[in-house]
Amino acid sequence: MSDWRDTMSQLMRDRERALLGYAYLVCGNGHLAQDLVQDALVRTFAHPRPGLTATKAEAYVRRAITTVYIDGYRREQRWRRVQHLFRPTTESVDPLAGVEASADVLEALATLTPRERACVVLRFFDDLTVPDIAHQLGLAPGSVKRYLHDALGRLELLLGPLEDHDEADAVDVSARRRKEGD
Amino acid sequence: MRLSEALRSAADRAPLEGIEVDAARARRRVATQRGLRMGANGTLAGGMVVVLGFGVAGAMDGMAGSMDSTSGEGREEAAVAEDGALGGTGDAGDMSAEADAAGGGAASSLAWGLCGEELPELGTGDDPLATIDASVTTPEVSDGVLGFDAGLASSVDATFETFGMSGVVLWDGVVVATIPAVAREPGESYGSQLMSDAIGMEMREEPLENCWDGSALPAGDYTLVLTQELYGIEPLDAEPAPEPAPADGGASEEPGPVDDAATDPGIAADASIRLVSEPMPFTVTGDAEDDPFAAYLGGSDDPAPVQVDPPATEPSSAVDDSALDPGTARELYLAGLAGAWDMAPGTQRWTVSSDWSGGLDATWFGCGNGTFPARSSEIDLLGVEVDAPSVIDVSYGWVIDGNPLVSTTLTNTSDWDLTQFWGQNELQLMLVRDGKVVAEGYAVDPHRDAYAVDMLEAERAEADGTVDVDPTATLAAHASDAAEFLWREVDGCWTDSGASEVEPGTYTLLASHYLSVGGGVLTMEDGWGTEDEAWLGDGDTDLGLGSSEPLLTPDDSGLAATGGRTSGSSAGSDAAIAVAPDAYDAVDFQVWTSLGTVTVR
Repeated sequence: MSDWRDTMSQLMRDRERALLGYAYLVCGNGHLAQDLVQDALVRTFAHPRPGLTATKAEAYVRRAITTVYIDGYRREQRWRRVQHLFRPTTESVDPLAGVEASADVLEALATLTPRERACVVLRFFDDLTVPDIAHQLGLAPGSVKRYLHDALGRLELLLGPLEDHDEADAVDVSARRRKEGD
Repeated sequence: MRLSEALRSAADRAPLEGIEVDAARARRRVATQRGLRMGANGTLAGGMVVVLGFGVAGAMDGMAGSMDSTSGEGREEAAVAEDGALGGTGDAGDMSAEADAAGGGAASSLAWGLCGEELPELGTGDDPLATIDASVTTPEVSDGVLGFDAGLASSVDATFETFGMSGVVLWDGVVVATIPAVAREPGESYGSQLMSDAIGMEMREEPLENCWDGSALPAGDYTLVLTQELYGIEPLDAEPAPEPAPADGGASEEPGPVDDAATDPGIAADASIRLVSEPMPFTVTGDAEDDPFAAYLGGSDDPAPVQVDPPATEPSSAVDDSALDPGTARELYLAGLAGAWDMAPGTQRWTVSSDWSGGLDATWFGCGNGTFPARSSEIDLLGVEVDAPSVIDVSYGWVIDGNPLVSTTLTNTSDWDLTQFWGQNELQLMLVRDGKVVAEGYAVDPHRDAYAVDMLEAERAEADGTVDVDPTATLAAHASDAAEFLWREVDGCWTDSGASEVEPGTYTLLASHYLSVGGGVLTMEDGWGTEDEAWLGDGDTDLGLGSSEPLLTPDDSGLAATGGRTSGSSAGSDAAIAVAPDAYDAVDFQVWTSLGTVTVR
């Protein structure tokens, strides 16, 4: 057995649940998470990567999970065929319903669009900066800011105030809009 | 509530009971891709040597997030310069042309050794630099393990880099098993040497397992074909190149003919060579079945698909043969590599935002990322006309006094269909000063929602009780598409201290469009089970998937290849559909068009 197989086996042995959980955050579906992790494994190990340890591989796989997910989103022709599967239901986009029910964060995430969701996970789970997220997803930084702003607005309606909303370089669009409205 | 903590907690308690990653399947897919990886750039037949000016993927390539723009730059451009953009001058160019003649126009992009596919029909090159000298140990295999000896024979002494020797096992001319390369350091290339007076033979033993699910190869007659890629070849006894004649005419004599054979083994700098062995037949003993791979290849025992009689003029192939494929796109990019871009109005450049094959390094241009990439290409493929205002009024990032109208007309000026182009519905604007992006402009199509769905069309379809047929993302050859946007925002680039202010002044205005070329895999949940879709996009042609044979699971006999794709339920099984995901190939570009200047007030 060659080294990459050993590395993959160790990664799966030690971190399978964590990777699945991460993928679940990104996509909100267990079976899709399962496939995302597998596709991400293939992306990570299909090319020779000298010195790739299980620890480093986990970071690669997590990055690949988001890019695989967003790549799928980018294939608009296919995306349009399945968009109803991802589009929030009428109930879930009803912000009042969310507030009343004190929605779980997973349920709240489910109301976000794929790009919003990926941006939120990368920003608040992986602690990436906006430029890093843009780099990771191949988006313009301004687009990331917009997705984060819209996503956080939605999440706050459903979850209540988020302490880390205004931290660091999250988004200042809301501040700008508030300022504009003054 | 802290969102970061909530997310981590949510990941820990995500409802994943009973869900596991099929690591074995992932390993098989990786093994297949690694085996095929070397074949993605060139093809040739037994004993043939082809020189192709392609860059060999770096060790850290392939990730979308990798934006190192320097590692491959030199070799790609050197390859272009030396090789005349895959068909130019000198030995390399001649041999490249030979490859094209042998393997067709897509010779440099065909996947060699794709599981379930035949090897391309190719001619034979003359006077190869090296050949694979190989033989099977015993022509009859009874224990499921094939032994063979292999080595490189050459008429020159040279050093080279390689990932090792790999191979395929053919049954009835179709690839049914792969032999992985064995590198000295797993996953890494290594240096080796061609010797004119010796052959370093190596004996190997490999289990004979099919490339779909790893089952042992059944009894039957097979053929082993080995291949090895050599790059970075440097002759050990190369003499210095002759001094060029003075430009001032001081030397009145024409330089004499150069004895290439004496000074150069015929290899261009940074060229790569793929060697392919002569086919070596062998037999797996036992009771042979009539069609042992019918379950994987859609054999004759399967019921014939039910087909609706097509119009006589309707092509039998559902794959858009005229679509731009990733291999061709890469060649166009390499052929059009150009120097620094002055962003003159009306000029255009292409950059690579990601390349699945790893052959082209991705670059990024945008906020906070320095000047325009040194490596970009001029490709006469997409005409971009944008009628944008020359002056805008901005307040707190918002374009005020009415959102100005921005009209766009995109024209496919090529003979290829652009099958994954949705730039018709998107427009990204960049404000550039001193070569750097300082702000981004956002224009919105008021007729489309956040999902780029034409709301008017959808509403009309709903009112009519008809199905709203999604417009295709294809921009056909020589077709044009126009759209109108409202310029809504101008956001200063993000800095450590927050978003920067957009200062009044004049900026160079760039339009950016994404173009994705190639196919992919989408996995989706349909409410009853998972469904993998092998999407046959415009990347199919260079993957040798053919136009008439859909990629089907053994249970998909009734599905015809319509709409350029096939689908089938695998429900998490290890079905033969794995072939399609492994065949993924795509390259994404950003098309930058200078629109002149815009003044912000």
